[in-house]
Amino acid sequence: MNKFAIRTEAIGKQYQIGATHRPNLREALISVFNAPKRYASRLLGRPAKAADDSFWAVKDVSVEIGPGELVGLVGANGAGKSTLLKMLSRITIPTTGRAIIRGRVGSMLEVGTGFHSELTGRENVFLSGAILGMSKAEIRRKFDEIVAFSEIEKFIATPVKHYSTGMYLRLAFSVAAHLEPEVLFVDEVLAVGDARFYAKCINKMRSLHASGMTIVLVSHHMFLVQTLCTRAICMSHGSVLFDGDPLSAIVSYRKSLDEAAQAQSATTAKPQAKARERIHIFQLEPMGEWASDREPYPDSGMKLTFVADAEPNSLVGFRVAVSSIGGFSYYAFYSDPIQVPPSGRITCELQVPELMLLPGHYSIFGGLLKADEVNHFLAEEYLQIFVRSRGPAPAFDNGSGGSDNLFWNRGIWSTSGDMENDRKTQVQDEIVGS
Amino acid sequence: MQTQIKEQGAPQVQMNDAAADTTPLLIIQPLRGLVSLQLPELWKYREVLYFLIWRDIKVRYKQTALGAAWAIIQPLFTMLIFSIFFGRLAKVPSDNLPYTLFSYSALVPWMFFATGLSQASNSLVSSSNLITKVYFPRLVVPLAAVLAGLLDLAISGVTLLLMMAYYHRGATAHVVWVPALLLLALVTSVGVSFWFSALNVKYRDIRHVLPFVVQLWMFATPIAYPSSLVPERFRVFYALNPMTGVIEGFRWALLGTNTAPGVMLVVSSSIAVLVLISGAYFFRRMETTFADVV
Repeated sequence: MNKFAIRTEAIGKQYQIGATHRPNLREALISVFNAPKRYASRLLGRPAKAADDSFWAVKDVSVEIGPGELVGLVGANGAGKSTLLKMLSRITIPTTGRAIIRGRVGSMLEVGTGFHSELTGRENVFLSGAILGMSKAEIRRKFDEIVAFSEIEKFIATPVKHYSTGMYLRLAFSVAAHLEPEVLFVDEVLAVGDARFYAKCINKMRSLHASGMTIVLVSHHMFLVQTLCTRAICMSHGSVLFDGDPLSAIVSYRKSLDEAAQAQSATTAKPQAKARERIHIFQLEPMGEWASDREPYPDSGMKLTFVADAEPNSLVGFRVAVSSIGGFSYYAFYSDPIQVPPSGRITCELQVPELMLLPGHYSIFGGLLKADEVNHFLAEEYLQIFVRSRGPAPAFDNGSGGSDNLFWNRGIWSTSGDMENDRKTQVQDEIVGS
Repeated sequence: MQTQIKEQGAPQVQMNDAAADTTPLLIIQPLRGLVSLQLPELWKYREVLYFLIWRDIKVRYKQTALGAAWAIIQPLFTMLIFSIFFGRLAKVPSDNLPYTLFSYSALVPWMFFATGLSQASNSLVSSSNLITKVYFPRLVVPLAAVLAGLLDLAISGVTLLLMMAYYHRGATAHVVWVPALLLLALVTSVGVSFWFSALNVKYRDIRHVLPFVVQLWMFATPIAYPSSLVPERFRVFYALNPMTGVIEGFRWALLGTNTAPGVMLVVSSSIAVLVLISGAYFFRRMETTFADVV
């Protein structure tokens, strides 16, 4: 048997949605008296009355996560991510199946677990640390490190109710980040503080991962999942939709979002025609100089060739979008409507003379659309490029927090050493003039 | 749904894994069969208990003008009211003690019991933010709420000693029984709190019933009056209330009242222990649904 850090075996959690009906004390007492009868019928193997006002928040999830993996858990709201984490961190109990975890578990499901507003920063470090699972000696040992990380040394003796939100979150995150479990569950808590502190949090996660900790991270921040995780699991309606490389998981997540949006908007929509539509990015060719395959420079261009199958004689269009890994679209190209030939096959080519992208990772989405409806995708495919910096230092690397710019553009500089003299002359002119 | 979490030690690991591995496996699964109290686990989390008590004590009198003086004011004023209405006006007998001392000596352990019970019964609901976000044995929560009252007890206890000095009442040799009696009060308080706090998670009715229960309970306990006033034929039922044993014992041990509460204490202790154990099991049984219901 291979080594694992976390294994779930068809784990599931069922909730009663009849929140309207909570048994009151009287009914509960009656139910107590009926308990022997219920127990007897269970012994006899008679199934309990199926509750129809129940739903499965998580259903039949079986995954295995190896030691040292950093797994991103993505999915739309209500996909069951948090419920899964809650079961794994023993806050709530599975209805079916089971999970096995090897090693000490720590969970960061919320920033500021155990914090009390009346207590000082120092006191809260100890309180929250103990509740999160650190021993007193451990907290004492790491105390200075925790405070230094949070950067609120000056206010450590002040009750946290006087803290700003940012200070509070920073201290709270620092405590949690200094847990040293073998398995760590993190639920969307990394986005605390300003951009600089955020970058610090991400680096902390990286170093925890590098130290061999197994981490499961829920996030809606796709860029984070893409850049941080070694693997990602996409959940939808309580089950695993995709499990594998982060980028594919993100695509699967986006698809599940689209489907959800479509399902909501199109109760009237006619049932989907047979899925014959498909698109294939046939070729990605350089225009101008490229560093290597799939690695253009900011001023390089590209040529994309598609093959698509669609309903003969229907009117379709192509869309190519260049977007960040996180799904932020920088620009898109829409083709004119095309009449599909009787063969049902179309090929098409797009040339982009200059990408104008800052160095970093990008996705290129090729989509086949219905021409007479807004944003009705028949099929979509993506590929990924990495824009290389021409300079020696990646000073403008996009996405790592170092740059707030969106685009690269060609600029022509000319500098001279005589600026100082010019200005003096100008000042003198003004004096004379007045 | 009956569910439980089991923690398995190294031996099971070796069954699962040929390679020798001492890392404990944590198995999370629905339970079949009976719940266990898992006392070793509780012991493992003793530091959480310590910090929760510490928090409760720190926070209790924060931003109050009088601070810890409240620990004295409450029993003192109750004593004053009792002395006026029961002592002076109704002329309730007081075992040949000054009525003030008679009632205050009972109010000290009673306040510990009643405050602990009230705090603990609401403790799970008021720490729902913890219960839904992090795991630790939930028994710790009501336990901490009751134990945090020990400081108040110490403060009001000192006041009692001062009052005894004022009335020139030296303690008798029976004073050695005081810690045991306080333990009995603690056990009763914790036991009842386990029941109430667990029930309160699901049925908030408890919160409304509680003040009423505490008040009724106070009059069912010889605080404002001596138990000798209770007709002989009701005495057996009367002793079923563990706090009766505590209060009677307290007066006997500290002030040397004539009543020797031997049998009463045996009954009281048995009941208290029964409530504690059943409460702990009931709590463990309900515990698995706390995070979903609270």
